[in-house]
Amino acid sequence: MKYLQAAVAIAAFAILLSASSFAALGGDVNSVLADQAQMKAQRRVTQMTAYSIHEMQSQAGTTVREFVSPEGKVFGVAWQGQSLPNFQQVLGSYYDQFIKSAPRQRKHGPVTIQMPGLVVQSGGHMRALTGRAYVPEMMPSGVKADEIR
Amino acid sequence: MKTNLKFPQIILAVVLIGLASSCGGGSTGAVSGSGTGGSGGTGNNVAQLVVDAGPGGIGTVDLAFTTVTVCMPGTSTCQTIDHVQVDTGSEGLRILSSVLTLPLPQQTSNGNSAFECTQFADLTFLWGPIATADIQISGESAKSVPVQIINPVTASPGAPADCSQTANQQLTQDGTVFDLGANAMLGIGSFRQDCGSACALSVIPATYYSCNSTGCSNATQTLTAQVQNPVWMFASDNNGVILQLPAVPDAGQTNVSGSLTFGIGTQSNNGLGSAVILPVDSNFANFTVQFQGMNFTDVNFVDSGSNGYFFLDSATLTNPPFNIPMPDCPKSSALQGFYCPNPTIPLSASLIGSTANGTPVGASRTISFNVASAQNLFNTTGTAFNDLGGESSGNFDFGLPFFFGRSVYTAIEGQSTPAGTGPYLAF
Repeated sequence: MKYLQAAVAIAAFAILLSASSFAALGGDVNSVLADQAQMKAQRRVTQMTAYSIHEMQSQAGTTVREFVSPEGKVFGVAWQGQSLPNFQQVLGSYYDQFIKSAPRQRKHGPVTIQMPGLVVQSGGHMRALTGRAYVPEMMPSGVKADEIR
Repeated sequence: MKTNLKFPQIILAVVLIGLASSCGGGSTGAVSGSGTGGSGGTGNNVAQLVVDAGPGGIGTVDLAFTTVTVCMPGTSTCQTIDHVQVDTGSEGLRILSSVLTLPLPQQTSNGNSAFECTQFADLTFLWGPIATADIQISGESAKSVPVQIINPVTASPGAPADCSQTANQQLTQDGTVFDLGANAMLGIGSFRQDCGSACALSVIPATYYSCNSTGCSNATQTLTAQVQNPVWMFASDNNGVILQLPAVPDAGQTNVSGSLTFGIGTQSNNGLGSAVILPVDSNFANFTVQFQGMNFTDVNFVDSGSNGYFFLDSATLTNPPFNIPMPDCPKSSALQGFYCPNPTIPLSASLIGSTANGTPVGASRTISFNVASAQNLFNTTGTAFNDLGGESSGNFDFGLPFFFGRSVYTAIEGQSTPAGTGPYLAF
């Protein structure tokens, strides 16, 4: 019996670990909690018609908003503030694709990076950086990219 | 932040830059802008501003450069650096290590060296140590200013993971990459420091670090130790800057010269005249734009370091309520992110002062501007265009094209001027 309890406890712990190692985009709502822990942030949830917004403010003065579908999946992330978010955390399984994209262009200014299944947009200026990342095919119907802000 | 270069050009650029930088106080290579008798005046507070093809003619467009002299603190051992990009969208002097010939003293604390990760909106970053320099620009000087040295990717210590994970390209030079498009960056924007109280009060990832032989760890950085906007540390004329560039033809121009004037209302050559003051919010230095009847509140800015009128996106502009067909350029790294309408599209927008800090509504100015095909413009030898445009999702970033034919004032936070305390924008 004791062994069983221990096994259950270990299994539960393993599930928690795996939940926290998921990062947000494309993940389920638990991954938002992982981001919250990583950012050491307060979280505020706003329910919209087609989705919910989980807003967190980091100590760095950066606000991160994660957009969660009715099915509990994170389809978009927006940020605004002094620093960029930790993309490995917020992009999750999309991060490897993002980090290799390295746009080299003649434009000095805001960027849009279009990748298969992922769009990352970034703009602003020093101390006021803004942007969003979203998975177009996961957007609830009728929701526009402009709403991820 | 980047220039698209072919490999032989990179080699050439690096060689030329190597030749152009010398030590021991000699003034090297005067700025190469010739052009059309610049606008703006002369005086001990006026530096020349040029819009040319960049250091070694590497092919920059709509970037403005000046010349800066850095000195070992308290000495007359100096190095003059040309093609320093003038950026009102950032704060602080950042010098490529390959250009710097002076052994500027690095900032240390308890045997550890201060390093910084500097992030930009285009998802690039710079990495390198904080050093101290005396800075001279025109007749102005500032003593013991914290600056950043931009290390190559190969230098040790390398950028920590939490720095490189927040961006997807290290912007520096390592023999194969030379994409700063300048020998150094001079950030003379709205703020006094590049981070401010946030970095002084708490440890913030991907900002300041304390490094020793065992590695780097995140660290707080006091306000005075942070990389400073050199202008507010000048002995005088330290409340802001004026960028003045002459009007250029719609087809573009090669090599334009104008002026970078220090101080607002501190001398006979830097008064506000009829300029309209637009307050910007104290946190982000942004203001409001009204475009085709729609308001974009406190998300917009004027930035000499952006090389276009960057606003909204093709889909948003083309569809209701705007109905302005604004095609993106054909896909290529040189044209990525720019608009390519043919014929040129005339537009207007109202810039409205921020009310975020309790400023009354009222201050606003409506401007007209054109967006031409970037593809057509880049097929010329022009380096200065007043009609280069591109996307900036959800806001307006008024880059260098906005500055042609104008005097644009940037007042620094907390500094008093005849029109009140900064930050504000005026033109």
